Formats: sequence, structure tokens, C-alpha cells
Amino acid sequence: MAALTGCRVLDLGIITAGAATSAILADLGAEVLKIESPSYKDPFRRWTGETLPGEHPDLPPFFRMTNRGKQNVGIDLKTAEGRAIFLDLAARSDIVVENFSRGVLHRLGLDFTALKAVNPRIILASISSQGDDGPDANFVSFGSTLEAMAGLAAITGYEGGSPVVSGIELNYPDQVVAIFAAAMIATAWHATKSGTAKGVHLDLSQRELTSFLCGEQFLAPEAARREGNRQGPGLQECFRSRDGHWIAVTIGAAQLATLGLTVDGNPNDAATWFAARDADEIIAEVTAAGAAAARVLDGNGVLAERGRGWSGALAAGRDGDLVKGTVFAEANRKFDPGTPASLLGTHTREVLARLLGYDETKLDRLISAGVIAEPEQQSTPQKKAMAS
Amino acid sequence: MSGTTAPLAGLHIIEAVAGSVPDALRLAIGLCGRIAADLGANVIRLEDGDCPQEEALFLHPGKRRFSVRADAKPLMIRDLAAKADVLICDPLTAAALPQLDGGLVEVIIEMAQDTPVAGSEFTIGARSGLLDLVGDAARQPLRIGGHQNAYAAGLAAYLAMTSGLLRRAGGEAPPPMTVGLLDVAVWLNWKTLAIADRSGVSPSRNGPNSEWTILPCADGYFALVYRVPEWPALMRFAAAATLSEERFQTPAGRSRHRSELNQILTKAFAGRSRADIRLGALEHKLPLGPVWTPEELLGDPHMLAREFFHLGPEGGPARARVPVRWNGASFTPGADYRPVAGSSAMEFA
Repeated sequence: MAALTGCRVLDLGIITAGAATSAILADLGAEVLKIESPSYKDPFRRWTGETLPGEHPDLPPFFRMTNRGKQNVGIDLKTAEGRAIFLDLAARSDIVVENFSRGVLHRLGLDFTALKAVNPRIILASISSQGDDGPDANFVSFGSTLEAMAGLAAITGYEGGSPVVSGIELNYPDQVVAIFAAAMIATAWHATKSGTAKGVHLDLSQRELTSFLCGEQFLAPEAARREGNRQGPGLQECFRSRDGHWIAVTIGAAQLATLGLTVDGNPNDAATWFAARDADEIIAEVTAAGAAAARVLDGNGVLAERGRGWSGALAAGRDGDLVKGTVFAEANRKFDPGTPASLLGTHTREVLARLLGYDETKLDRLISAGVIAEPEQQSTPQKKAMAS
Repeated sequence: MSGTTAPLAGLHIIEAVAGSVPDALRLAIGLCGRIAADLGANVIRLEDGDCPQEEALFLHPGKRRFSVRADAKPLMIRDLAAKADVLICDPLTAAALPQLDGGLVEVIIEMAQDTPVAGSEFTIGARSGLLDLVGDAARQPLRIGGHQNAYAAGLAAYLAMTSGLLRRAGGEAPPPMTVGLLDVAVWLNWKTLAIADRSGVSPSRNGPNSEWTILPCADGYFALVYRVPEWPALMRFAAAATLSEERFQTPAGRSRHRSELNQILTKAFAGRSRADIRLGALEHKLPLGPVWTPEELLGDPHMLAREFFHLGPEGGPARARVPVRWNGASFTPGADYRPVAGSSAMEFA
């Protein structure tokens, strides 16, 4: 039995932070229903258009990777009847995940008070940029905004240079928050099951998490600075090898002496030592001395290492698609990323019939009225198999 | 936390770290236990010798810390485990353990599958592609500040721990859970890998010419962050006539002229302070981020309003609280305990 077997999640999460949190809950065994409004689709469905010819435009790869393991229910939450249906589902669910702008859930009449009125045991995870309150609560933010505002950018950068952010390809705070938020939701579920909690609202601020993850900087904040790749005594830096590769090394003071590198931590003096050796020689010599060295890989290099240093982070979906995997492995349990991501409303009829007892006549009426939605009539998408 | 029971109250957790493992494992294990301690667990940390004090102040509030000889540790863990719920440890510690009680949740943090106790956070950054993504194209790859690879693994370890606890609560003997720093870092880097897998071309660092980057302003820096829908608002806020030229009106056009565009924006914001930029970002609903330093954040009105920092005994230093509010309440970091001889550990189990 998985950790969250028997737990039902209503996933209002969008883009990465919210949607990835719910994907992790699916990995832990929860039944995840992605509730998506036809009047406001998850923006990840149309994110900088990376779909290839033959792929459905509403199922681009970033969306597919983040929304596997979920069923999709189309409900227009801007309609009163749609909101009533959502509350009926909440009464039969355990967890709601959302990362809308602050105030949206309240304006929809679906905030914690409303949810708790229909289900006293509900867990609401509100994942936001800055938290539920405070002077910056309404600040529009993406991950790199928060790196700047949380103190992380101020300590990232070349020595003597400008601050640096992880940028659009990584958007670091959006990734780590999914792990943390899923962990806090699992904690709340555990507390609910053990009787120490009944109805929990989790206020999760990405900015606070980003500050927490550089928490030692606040102990002596006057000393916080950008140090490039240096970190503690010894030598830590990237050097070019003779055959043109960037090699990352972390070498302690004692190991520097073993290698004959009398650089006292100054990377400029060391550069000639590295430039005189090929990448493989450097890695062999440095690791033999008990220090750390590795080639700096790009995305293609990382994919080529799959099955050697790492394996679970990405997975092959049931349809052969490359999807997000898991951040931990359980002995004797094979990870299953679950059902592939689907079009808006793919499971509307099945879920509302199963959970709320709606018959076909009622479902047809609600679809005609635009309260609920099922996929528009389109040809079956043909996706390129991505898993290597 | 007042008014409600802390969610992990009554839970007993052992952290154990071998003396010879990479610092990254010490940090990852420490962060996992730090979160659990803040949430009310009774956390005991068994360590070989002292940890540096600055790490201890952030990572170990609320934990009872014991210095234990390496050869005595396995049997001590066995005795403590009889009363404990969770063991968080490194692969060397796990390998030295005798048979433990089947109900214990065991979380083992390793560096990578092929090198479980070798390497550094920095080489994990190299192997995961994260280093390649950050910095200037013409300069060496750059790490993200702090201990992000270790701490992200610490978050994953906490997730694994709760998964194990739930499985145990469901009547199972939970299997050992393994967290790899490299796997976690690769998981964080999923977008780059997706692009590389589809196109064969991997995104790489592009420094000041990146779509999202850092620009200077009158009293420091700010993060230039925007998507297609925010472009019109950015034009209005920047108020530079050249931005309305046709070549900047599409994402492809902005990409082609990125360097020139960022120079225009640099000039447009040169006379404005970070406080001005914060107010303008709020007014125009723009995701621009003023770069605050850790020192400034200690007095930041938003952080103060949310009581994010807690001062230690006698006024300092400031500790960041665990970043969650639970039904409106936050969790205060626990007291600092210096390491003591391991012989007294059983009293706290």
C-alpha cells in the first residue's frame, strides 16, 4: 500500500509549483483530480510553444511531464453551479492544492472557511510566492523574482560581480517548493490520520522557502557575499582541461598538497595545472587523492549518465513519454508515474458520475450550459516518444 | 506554535552521520532533522566530533546532540532505535548497523548511485547540469549560492520520511528509503533535460543576455523577469520610447535583440531605486524582483510581518523558521544544545 492510498486530492495547481506538488502526491498513492476551468486553462498548456508537429497543442511536453498520474475534470469555477460542484467534490476529498494569485480562491468563494464548512477534515495547501499576508502578498512573482527577494541572488555570482539568478530554464524556487509542499501536505495528512489535527490550512511561501534554504546566511548577514564557486577552505572551482572540458573540483587543503598544488586556494595559480591535463587525467588524479572532481555536463551529458549516477529523477511514462520521476526510492517498489497527462475534461463524466452520482442527462445539461467541460472533438494526439 | 499540538509531537528521530562522509550528507541529514524538530519531533543527533558552529545554529536548533565514537555508534543506534520511529543516516552508517526493529523508518541519503559517499555538492552540480546553466557564457560555470544541492536533498529526505511514517501507520513495515543528491538535482533540472531530449540542443548559461537576468539600478540590482503577457506592462513601467519599436514586439524579436533590449532596460531603470522598482512592480503587476541582501531582509517589512526570523538567546543571531504556517501559526525554532558525550543519549530517547 502506498503512503497516500485512500486519499483524494483536488488539484487546482498550475504551471510548476502547484501542479508538480500534486504530481508528487500522486506518486505517493493519492487519487489526484486536476480541476481545470475551460475559461482559465493551466498556462503550462501554452508555454512558449514547444509542441512538435503531430502533437496536440494543449499537451506540450512541460505540461505532460508535470501532470502525469492525474485525472482531468473540467469545471468552470467562474460559474455559481461550477463552484457548487467543486464544493461537492471537496466534501468527498481530503486535500486541495492551489497556487493562484492571493485572493482568487476567496473571491471564488472557495477559501479555507468555505472548504471547511463542507468538509471539516479538509487540508488546503496554499502555495504562493510570498505567503497569504504581509505587505508583499500581492507581488506577482516567478521563481527568479523570489531568488532576488529572498537573499539567494545576493549570494550567487562571480566574486566582485553582479548578483545572478538561476533563470528561466531552472527557476529554482518553483522546483524545490513542490518537494517541500508535498512533504508538508503529507505531514498534515499524517497528523489528521493520527488525530492531532482536524482541518489544516498550510500557508506555504516560496520566498520563505528560498530564504530558509540559505538560512545560515542570516546568522552573520554582514558577512554574506558573492564568492563565485569558492566555499570554505581549500580549492573549489571549474577549470578548463587541456582537451577543452570544464571540470569542477573540490579539493581540501591536505589534498592540495598531495596533488602538488601549492595554490593556497587561489584558482588562478591552479589553472595551469589543470590546463596541462586532459579531463580524464584530472578526474583520475584528483579522485585518487581523495578529493572530488567531475566533468561539467550539459543536458545531453546528464541524459547520457542515466542509469549510472542517477536513475529515478526522470521516468518513462506508460505511453513512452519522458516524464518527471521521483526524488526518493523505496526498496522493493518500482516507481510508476501513472496515467499520462490528458486534455481538459477527459475524465469529467466518469468522475462526476462516480463521485457525485450524476447521470448522463445531467452531465449533458451541464456541458451544454458550459458549467463543466469535456475534450473538444479533435483528432487523437500523436506524441513523439521521448523516453530514451 | 500555540493553541494546537505540533504535528510531529511524540515522534522520535535519530540523525546519525559518519565522520568520513562528504559534508553535503551531513548538511542534508541535518536539514531533514531540522524541519522535523521544528514541527515538534524529538530529534537526537549522533555525530563524530563537533560540527562547525555556524551550521549548528541553523541546522540543529531543538536537537539533542551527542558526540559518539565511530566504533560505539552502531550499537548505540540499535539501542536508541528500539524506542525511535525514524533513522536518518548516510550509507556508511547504514552499512555498519546490526539488524534493527522492523517498524523503524530508515532514510539513507547518498551522493550518487555510483559514488554513494564520494564527491561534493559542487561536483553534484556539475553532474546534474545545474552548474552549466548558471553564469556567463564566456566564463566558468557558476554554483548557486549556499548549499542548495544538499538542502534540496534534505527536503526530499523529509518527504521520504513522511512517506515511510504513513506506510507504517497503514500497517506495513516500511522498506528503507534512499535519497540521492544527484537524483534530486537532476529532478530539479527537468526542463533542461526535456529540451535536450527533444531537440538534442541543451540550454546553457547566457549571463546578462538571458531572458531573465539581473540588471543594475540606482542603489543595487533587480531581477528582470517577465513573460509574454507582462511585456506591455513592462514597456509602460520602463517608459523608454525605443521599447515600442516593432522589433521588440514579439518574443522572437526580443530574443534576436536581447543584448540591445537589456541595455535599453538598464538605462531606463538606472535612476530608480529598488524601493521604486518594488512599488512599480506591485502597481503594474510585474514580476520584477529587487535584490535584497540577507542583512536587509532581517529588517524587511514583509519578513517582519510574517515573523520569519527568530532571534536566539540574548537577541541573536537570527534563525529562519521552517517556512510553513499551519492554521495561521508558525513554528519557533528550538533551543540550541551543544554536543555532549554520547553516554547520556538514552535519557533523551
